[in-house]
This record gives sequence, C-alpha cells and structure tokens, in this order.
Amino acid sequence: MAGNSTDKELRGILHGFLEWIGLLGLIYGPLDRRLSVKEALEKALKRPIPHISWWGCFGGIAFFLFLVQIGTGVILMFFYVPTDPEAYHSIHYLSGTAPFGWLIRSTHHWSGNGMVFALFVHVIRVFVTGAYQRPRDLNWIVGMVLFLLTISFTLTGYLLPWSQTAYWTTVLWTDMIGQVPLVGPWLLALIRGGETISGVTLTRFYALHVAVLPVLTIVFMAFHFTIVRKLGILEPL
Amino acid sequence: MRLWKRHRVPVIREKKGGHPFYPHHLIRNTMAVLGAIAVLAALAGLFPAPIEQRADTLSPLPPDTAAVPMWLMRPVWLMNRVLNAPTITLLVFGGAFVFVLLIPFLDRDSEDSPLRHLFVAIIFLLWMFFIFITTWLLPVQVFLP
Repeated sequence: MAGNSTDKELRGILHGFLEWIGLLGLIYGPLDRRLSVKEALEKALKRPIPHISWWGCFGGIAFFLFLVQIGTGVILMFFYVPTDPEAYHSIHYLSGTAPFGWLIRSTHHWSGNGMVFALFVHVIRVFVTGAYQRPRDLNWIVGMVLFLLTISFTLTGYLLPWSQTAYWTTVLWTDMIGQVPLVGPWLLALIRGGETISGVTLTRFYALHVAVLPVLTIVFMAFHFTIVRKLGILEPL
Repeated sequence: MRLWKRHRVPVIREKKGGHPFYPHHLIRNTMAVLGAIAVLAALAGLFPAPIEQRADTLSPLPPDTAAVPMWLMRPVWLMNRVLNAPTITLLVFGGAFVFVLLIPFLDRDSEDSPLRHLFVAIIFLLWMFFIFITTWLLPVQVFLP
C-alpha cells in the first residue's frame, strides 16, 4: 500500500514536471495560470497606438537616454572614488587604463547632454501643440519637476570629475543659492557641507547623483507615464 | 468645446485609432533605439568626454576663458558675468521657471486668439535668445571686459 501511494506521488510529480515544461518554459506556465500573464501581455501588445510624428518622440528619446545613463552610470560607479584627491585620478584611470572606460564615460557624457537636449525639444513640442491644457495640466507640472530633477543631475554630475571649470561653476551657482533670502545661507551650508566646496561637497553631490535623484526621477516618471497612458496622446489641432 | 464652456468640463481630445503596438510600433521603437545607440557610440568615439585640468581649490578665481562652463549653464554664467549680481540672475531664472510652470494656469482658453499668438511668439523669441546665448557665446565673450 505504502509503495502504491509513493508511486502515485511520483507520477503526480512527474506529471507536474512535464506540465511545467510543456507549457512553454519552466516558470512561465504555472505563473501564467495564476497571474494570467499571457492575457495581460496580449492586451498590451495588441493595444492600438496612434501614429506619432518624430516631433512627438522626444519624450521617449529622453526616457531611453535616461536608461542609458543608468546603465553606463552603474559601470562608472565601480571605478569612481568620490573623495577630493582620488576623484580626478579615478577619472584619469577610467579614461586611460580601464578597458573601454573611455567609451562608457563618453557615452554617459553624450547621453546626459542628449537627455537635456531631448527634454528641451519635448517641452517646446508640448508647449507648441498646447498639450499642457486641462486635463493635462497636472502632467505639465510633473514634467517640470522631472525637468528640474534632470538639471539637478547635470549640476551634481558636472562636479564629479573635479575639474577646474566644474569647480568654479559650482562655486558660482552655489554662491547664487546663498543669495536666496532667509534660507540662503542655510541651504548653502547644506549643499556645500561647509564654508567652501571641498571633498565633503563632492561626496554629497555623489550621493545625490547616484542615489537620491534617480529614485525621485523614477517615481515621478512613473507618475508622468501613468497620466499619459490614462489621458492618451493629444489629438493635433 | 461647447461642452467645456457650458459646464466647465475639460474636453479630453485624444488621438484615437492607429496600429497595434506589436509588431508595428515595436519595430519602429527598436529602429529608433538602435539608431540612438549608434549615434551615441559615434559621438563617444569621435568626440570623447574631455579630461580637463584638475581643480585648484587654493587658487583665486581663474580668468573666464579658463572656466567657461558647459552649454547648459552658460546663460546663467553669462548673465551673472555681465550684471555681476547673483540675486538678479537668480530672480530672472527662477522667475522664468515659475512662469513656465504656471503656463497651464495662465492659458486656460482652449480657443485660438490673437493674444495667444503673441504669447507664443514671445516665448519662441525667448527660446531663440537662449539658444543664441548658448551657441554663440564664445564670439560674444570677446566683447566682455
């Protein structure tokens, strides 16, 4: 009796195993039965999407370049040292000695510039087509927050190679923030982490650039895209 | 439009129809992504990111030719250079951002009007000014004290 039940169990296991393989993939089959992935995927893939001219693609291009920034940025993080004497040397090492380091760094550089440029074009396109009007006004605000976040990425990332130009540019714009009435001096100390721009500032900018800003950007992007999906793309005038 | 005017209900003007995402748009998107990667690789190969001089934190402010920032920061840099008043520069650029942020609330009328054309023309000229400053800065710089 005992052997029979073990036999049945084994057969059951075998049957389940075959079913797993039979239903395309080891994981997909059982997952699909529970979550109906296939149905959702089909619905998403078959969803009709209106034809959009190349002018309407710059938001998407900016998003793609953001993904490139994440990919190249993570590789750069393996080599970069965010402290005062080492930052410049690590960039030197990365660009000269590390295999394909120059390619990764240059791609990060151009993709960042391209992202800001694509965002400018995107904002102009939305403005010219009047796509900012109700009910899309909230998305314009969210988009502006994303724009501000992108500028913050540029400002913080610009200092990281610790070059002469970047240093003095940072002195200039942080000085400007110090001029804000009431909260200026406090903000200045918060950003610089002291009286002047030093290794402390560099570490702060690094933390903002690789941890705080990406998370905020992803959250706001999700919000931005959800609204686009809900309201659809504006019919041209 | 009439509905919006009578009931103040926003009209959702949405572009309808079109082809399904798969395979039409997927092919287009893949083409665009591959094109973008090719452009990025070409730019990175032909014009690699520069390695500049190391920051000298102890030296006094360097001459302008030694510290012209990247294109994005040039308008702010130039304005501050000409006016030498960080507060005014901050106010102008902060004000411009707040203005752009409030555009949906300043322009709520969904009908075309001459005023709107003027509005768009002014914004467009401002944009042109911005692009002019950022791309033609180096010749302008010659005339600076």
